[in-house]
Amino acid sequence: MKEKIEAYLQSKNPTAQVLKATVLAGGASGLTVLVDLKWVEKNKEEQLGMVFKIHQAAGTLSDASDQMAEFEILKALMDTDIKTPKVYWAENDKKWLGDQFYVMERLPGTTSSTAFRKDPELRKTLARQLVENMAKIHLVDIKKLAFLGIPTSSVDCAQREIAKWEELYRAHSVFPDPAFEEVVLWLKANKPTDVARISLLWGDPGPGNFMYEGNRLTGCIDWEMAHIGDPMDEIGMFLGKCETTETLMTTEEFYQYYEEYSGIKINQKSIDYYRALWNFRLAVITTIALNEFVSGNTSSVFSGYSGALFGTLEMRKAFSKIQILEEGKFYATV
Amino acid sequence: MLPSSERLLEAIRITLDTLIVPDLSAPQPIFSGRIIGALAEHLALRSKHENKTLVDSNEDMQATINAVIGRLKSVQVNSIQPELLKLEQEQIQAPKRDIYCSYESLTDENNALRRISIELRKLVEKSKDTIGEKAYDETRKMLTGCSHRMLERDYVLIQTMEDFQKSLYSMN
Repeated sequence: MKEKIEAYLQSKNPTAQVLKATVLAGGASGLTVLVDLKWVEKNKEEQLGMVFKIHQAAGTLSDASDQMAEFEILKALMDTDIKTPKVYWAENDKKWLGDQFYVMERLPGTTSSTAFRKDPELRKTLARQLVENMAKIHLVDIKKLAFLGIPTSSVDCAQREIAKWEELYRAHSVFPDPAFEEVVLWLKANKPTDVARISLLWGDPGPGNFMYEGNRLTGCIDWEMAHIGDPMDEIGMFLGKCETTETLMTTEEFYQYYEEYSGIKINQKSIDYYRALWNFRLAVITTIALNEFVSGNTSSVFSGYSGALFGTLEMRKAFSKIQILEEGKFYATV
Repeated sequence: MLPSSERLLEAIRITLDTLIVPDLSAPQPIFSGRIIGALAEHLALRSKHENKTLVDSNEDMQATINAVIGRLKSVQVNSIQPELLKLEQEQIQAPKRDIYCSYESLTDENNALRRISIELRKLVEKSKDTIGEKAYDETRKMLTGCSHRMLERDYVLIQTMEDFQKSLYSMN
């Protein structure tokens, strides 16, 4: 991998020399490779860090993500003050690394929660910066992101997402799942009709997907599920993600910061709906992983683990949320 | 429904041979090693409980399908009778578990019953206006309740992995 990356970089700058290339663990849509390199630029030698995001046919999210779209989004966001990595190049030509990929700057800092878990002040500072960035993302002018597809109405925001993920599910399903069918029916019948603003959504916000150094948030990463939709969808995702990762702030704090930074009013009913939609999305991602795994396309233990864990877990969470929303009338308890 | 234990064990062996043993200090082998630990706990739970879980879920689905078909017959709507009859036939012809309650026979039975449950649910939805609100609500809740109980049974097999998942984020 190191030699191939070096050859690619030398096509951009013949003096490029890769010092180290580290494959990161746990990526859902492909390989992420951290690269330390040096090259001569304007007669001056400089050392820098880059990240290669390489699509993989057998990645869990490979069918659900479009890396070229991710590159275009990040490119568009370089004109804003939203904290995102600067992108350099995107390559469709498979001759370099065997699949399409794009290259971005390596941001300083970490995604690990270790530091802020022990430090309430740091946690609060980062939480505010994260919400500020989410608010800014939701206020971006979406006209230049039309390639993502813009919902035509309030109801269309959820409709497009259900359609996209249901199609993926139907294409990858490996066993009949009555629980999944029940959740799809409910999501289709209860789409939010009141959307205050149609916005760019990061698509996977929260702990693990932002970098920070000291008390400064350095970037929002992992845009592979970005889309245009209802900002409450993003908030539902964020709160859903905090269930399984780290609680950065209380829900009340989040709502307060968000309304302050975005000016968009919180719609609790919609958020509750989108939390169930988030579980549905994760269950579909799991289905893709399970399909890849049982069909022998991958022997990644991460795919096997995901396939074994998240289908049941996310459907169970969706059932529990819908049961609350339906005031105990979703499923019989005896 | 979970990937088979054999497939998970095969993946563990391949990962150990190709990823972990060649380079014990890199992030990906370390991460994979942790995943293998979580899978080992999961497989231990499955060896203890999975067949019983499948037996319980299959019996639950059988009973629910019978109850829903019975309730739908009771509303005496002619238009749904042919489809009800067809689903009853499918239930009779569906694969049954063998006398040893082997994993393969239980999963075949489970898949067949899941398919029938889904078809029955589609019929309930399609006939919403003709069977009346009361029969619709009752049958829908019976089927959803069965799905919920199956999720709860399967959850017992994955609970240790959920705990592990939560700890993953603080390891990185």
